[in-house]
Amino acid sequence: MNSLDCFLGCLTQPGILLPFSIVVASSLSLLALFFKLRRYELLLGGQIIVTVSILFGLVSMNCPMYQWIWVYSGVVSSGVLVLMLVRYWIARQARKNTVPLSSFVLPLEKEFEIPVRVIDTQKIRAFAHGKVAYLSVGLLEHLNRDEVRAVVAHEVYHIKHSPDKLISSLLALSSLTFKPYNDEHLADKYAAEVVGKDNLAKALKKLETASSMQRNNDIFRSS
Amino acid sequence: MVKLERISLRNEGLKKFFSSNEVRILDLLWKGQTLTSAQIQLECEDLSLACVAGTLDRLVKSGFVERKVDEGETRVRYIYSPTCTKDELGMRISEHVVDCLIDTFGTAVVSNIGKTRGKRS
Repeated sequence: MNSLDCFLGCLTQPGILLPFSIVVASSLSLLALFFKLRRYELLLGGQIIVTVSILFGLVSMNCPMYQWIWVYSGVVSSGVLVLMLVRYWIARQARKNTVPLSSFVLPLEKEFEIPVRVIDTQKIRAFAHGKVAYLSVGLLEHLNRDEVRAVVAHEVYHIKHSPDKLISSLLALSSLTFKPYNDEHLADKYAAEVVGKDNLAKALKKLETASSMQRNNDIFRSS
Repeated sequence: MVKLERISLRNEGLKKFFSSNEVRILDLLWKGQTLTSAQIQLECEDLSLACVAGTLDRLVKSGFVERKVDEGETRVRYIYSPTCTKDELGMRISEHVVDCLIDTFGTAVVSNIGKTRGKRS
């Protein structure tokens, strides 16, 4: 009997089948609720259940399934390594390429109570990394102050409310599931509440990307 | 410095060493000396904002153009200027190319340059 047969044999045993079914049912329920309510905590909860049950299953089942443990550990640990390297590289690049701007950025930091850094590039860029919002000089050139406030408010939502990217990616990997939530709409909604729909709409229009135009339409549709 | 693998001898003028967008922007900067990206964009209306931004970043990174940030209370912008004149650029590129040729072919290059110069004059 190979290890997969043994694993499947173990799963169908009465002592295992019931807990396994409960895990699958609860994960699926959380997933369904997540899609309905769009609350990422539900998905994270489901992923934690699946991860714990995978670990428990691998350790407790009486099967010669060492190769599966190695495959699982390999996938998860290499995924974690790649994610951490990417995260480190982004942080390093962002730190290395910042320009000191005080009179423009200080009021933004005061208003939104987060550190704001300016990246030295003509390209239009804005993102949140860790607890810091990054804006490019190109973006600041292109938008007026109220539109920049809209972009910062959007990033503030990600910093304060979005799940940590590393943890959520790690959970998606270890539970062998996925990471489908996209809270850009929620961040836009938050920004519209903070700085006004007009400012956000103008900022999105100026950024001129297909996705932002789509989000722009969504904002007006939801009003 | 201009990368040797980017040199394309079939092209005309500075396009042997730079892309056509880079040449357009360099020409504008040699003409205007200091320009903002908005002024450059105005002169290159047919190019997208992203294309102009990418080209400017590339020229700054390779050292042919420099920029400083002009920061005000309500506005931030870059001011671009060329790091050398067109003639100085010619000197820099030719020095680099001749150095590379001498490294590869030795004294044969020097005597060949002398011969070519004699033919042309």
